[in-house]
Amino acid sequence: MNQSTKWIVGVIVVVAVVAVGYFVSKGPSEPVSTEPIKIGFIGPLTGDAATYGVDEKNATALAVEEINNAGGIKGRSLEVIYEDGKCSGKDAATAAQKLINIDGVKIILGGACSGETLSIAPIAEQNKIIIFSAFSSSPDITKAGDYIFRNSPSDLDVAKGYAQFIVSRGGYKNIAIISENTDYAGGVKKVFNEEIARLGGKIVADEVFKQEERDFRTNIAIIKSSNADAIFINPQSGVTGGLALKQIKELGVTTPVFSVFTFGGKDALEAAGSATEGLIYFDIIGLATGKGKAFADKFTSRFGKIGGNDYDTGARYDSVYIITDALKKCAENTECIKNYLYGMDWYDGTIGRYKFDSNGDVLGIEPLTPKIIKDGKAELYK
Amino acid sequence: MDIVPQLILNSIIAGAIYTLIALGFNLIYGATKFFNLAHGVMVAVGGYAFFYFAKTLGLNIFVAVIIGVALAGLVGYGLDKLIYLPLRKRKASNMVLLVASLGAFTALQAVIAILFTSQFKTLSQNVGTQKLFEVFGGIITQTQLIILLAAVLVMAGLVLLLYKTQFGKAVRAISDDEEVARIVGINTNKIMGYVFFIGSAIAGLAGILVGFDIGIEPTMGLSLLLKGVIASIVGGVGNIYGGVLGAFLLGFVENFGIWKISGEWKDAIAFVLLIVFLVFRPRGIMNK
Repeated sequence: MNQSTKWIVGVIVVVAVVAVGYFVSKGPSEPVSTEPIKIGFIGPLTGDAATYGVDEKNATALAVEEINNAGGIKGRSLEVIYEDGKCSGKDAATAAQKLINIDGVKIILGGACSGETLSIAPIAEQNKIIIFSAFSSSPDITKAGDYIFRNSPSDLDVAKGYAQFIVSRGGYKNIAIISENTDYAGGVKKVFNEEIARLGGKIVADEVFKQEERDFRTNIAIIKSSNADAIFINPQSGVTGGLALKQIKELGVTTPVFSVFTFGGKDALEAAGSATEGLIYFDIIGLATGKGKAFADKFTSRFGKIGGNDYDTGARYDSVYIITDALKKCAENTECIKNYLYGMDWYDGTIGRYKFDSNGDVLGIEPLTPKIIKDGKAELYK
Repeated sequence: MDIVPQLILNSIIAGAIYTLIALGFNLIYGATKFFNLAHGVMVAVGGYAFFYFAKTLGLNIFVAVIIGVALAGLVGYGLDKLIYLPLRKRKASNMVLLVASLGAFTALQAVIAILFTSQFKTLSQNVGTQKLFEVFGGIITQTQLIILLAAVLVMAGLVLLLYKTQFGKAVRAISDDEEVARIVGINTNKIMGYVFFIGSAIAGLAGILVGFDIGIEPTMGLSLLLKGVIASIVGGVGNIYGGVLGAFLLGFVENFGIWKISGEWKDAIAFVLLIVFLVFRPRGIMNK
């Protein structure tokens, strides 16, 4: 190697070192990334409760599309990774682990079923990940953790409301209840039964069926022989609720039947058919007014009729906007997002005007709207 | 109000449905000696075929029933020719066949879910306005009466087929000993194909009937298959009468079991029955 080659090599090495040093030092001071912000979604995309999950997914996709078309979050677009929680705690937990550890999301929209949300809450809490459920109503979620939020009312109030309506307004004393064996329905059952007893009523039959059950005839036969003067169907999904109602009528039971918001969805109506006639069910406020109506129309023209529940679909749509506001303020700092949500001013959404209380539960939503089905159509019960 | 007549009726209805599953399952097991798990999905194939032809295409109900049943049979026949026959020729063990049938079950169920979505659907036109019949203080619907009738007719037909025809003789010969049957000149593979057709067709019929009584969903096969298999084992696997006895015994034990304890224990009760039989009478009620 002669002198001049040594010089050339030397110069190249120096240039390379300087260049590498320059770019490395410049790296971190690069202006904000333009990578999309990834958030997770968990909800039942298959199984009995799939209608809720699919509606939520579509509502999320619609909101995300609108937000991205309007410029995203400070130039970054929003991207959602959808996982199937199957309305089961086990599957939701697996999905949450994947979203948090592999995809690195900081926010999870979900779950829809209370069982999903309750099982992902401790995982999220430990990793300081924000959970935002639009439909889980189990009372246990209130205390599930600081990072857990929902814009769905708690069953603590709702189930008390059911019991008060049936005993105080209906005047029924001997109540039979048939419940699905899930976290959500179990929560409702507990509060409902206690409230009935408190009001001086009596639970004369307390039947439970498992999630995949399709044959409720023996449960119903027991209810029939209990001489109840009102029956309360407490299902998780529209399919089981609808089938239970259908089989109640098929066994010739004429006792008045009450049930929950699941009968606001087409699954329950399809499964029960004309057996729904005369049913009184407690819906949550739907998407009837202003912003809600506009959203419902937009949703329907894009994806067809809402299959599961109006409230859930609207609440999920709102949640994406609320999270977007938080992300604009905090980027992906979940500590900051958490504080933002607790301190959030009244939010004017599709499901009404609301904010979060100190437990991350929703304030301002009137949870009970009794409706009766007449000639196949639901109308307000007066 | 006395609850017992209704419990008896509920047990009989459940027994009739399990019978329809157990009959086909036992028929196929008798001839092939392996647990054909894909039998479960034939229920969904029948139900969805009927749904497609009757509700989507608007064909006459009876025509659609025939097509649904035949299609389930053909799918079963196809599985035998495409999967089980080549495996048998390779002298694959029953374990391999079982795993293959599990694969077929899962794949077909997924195909149905993709084609029709996994949403629950009912087959009946007038849900909730069925004719009700009162029997000794219990109530049974028209559809359930038809299910009961179908179970009895299918069983009678199967007995006639097995004991009064040349084909039945061949099937029984294969059940006794396939090797010997082949040596005496029975085309065992051909007969087994027919057995798959008949067994699967019965499952397809069960799917349509359950679809009328309750509804259809792609995953409907699994729980019915489990109950059918329990009925078969309890009754005596591979035995036609045994399957029927097992099915009704299971129906009664399940429905009377949840009279005093909570309904979510129904499956647990069914499996306790299975375990009791496996431990104390593994050959079932009927088997020698």
